[in-house]
Amino acid sequence: VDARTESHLRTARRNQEIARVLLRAVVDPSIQPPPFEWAAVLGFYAAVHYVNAYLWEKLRYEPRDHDDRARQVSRVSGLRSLDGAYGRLRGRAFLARYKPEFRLSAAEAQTLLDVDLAQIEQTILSALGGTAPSQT
Amino acid sequence: MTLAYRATAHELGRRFAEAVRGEPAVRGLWVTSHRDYVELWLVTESTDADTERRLYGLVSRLYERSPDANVRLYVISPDMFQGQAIDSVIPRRAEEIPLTAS
Repeated sequence: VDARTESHLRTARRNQEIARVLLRAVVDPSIQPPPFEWAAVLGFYAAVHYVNAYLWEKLRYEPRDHDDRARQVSRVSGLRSLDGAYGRLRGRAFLARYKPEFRLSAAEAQTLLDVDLAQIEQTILSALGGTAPSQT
Repeated sequence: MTLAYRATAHELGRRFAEAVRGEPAVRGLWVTSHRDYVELWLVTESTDADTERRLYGLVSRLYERSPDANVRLYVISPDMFQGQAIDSVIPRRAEEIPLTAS
């Protein structure tokens, strides 16, 4: 795969791993409720890079912004099956960042990572030939 | 914001209302228009992940007739917010879109 594709895949994996670490971490008990909503933000930014990797590798296309990227997910045939999972991650990440008192339970955050993000990861890696980004 | 764009937002909201009309979990729909994008605020009762995922997927129908639209959907329910009424999550200037057929 192209070097830029690999770079996006590495960043996607990194964000995905940070999200998993956040869920596993022993959180300072003074932070109540625990900040699981940030797993949605990290998970969304992992999804962004998986989608960027696909669009670059298959179409040599770089989305202009989040709206453009979401439109591509809904319209490009190889990504269309991901629109629900991608939209869910995007929506929850927005609420986590901008809406006061939005909260996410550990179980809900786990579902976002293990179901929604996992679907995006698996579909895109499969389309790219099972590519695992090289470690650098 | 131009009147034309506000009309576009209303039309996108109206079409999305048609798309979610058969969804039993849906309680209301509001739309806010911005200079170059539209936000849809879909209020549901507490629901499961599969339903929420399906609702997010319905946005793709709007691109069929408006391929260049910038649409941002937020599916929200009262249980997502700690000690805050769902009404306060929706922007005050949002326009409510009726879910029933006119």
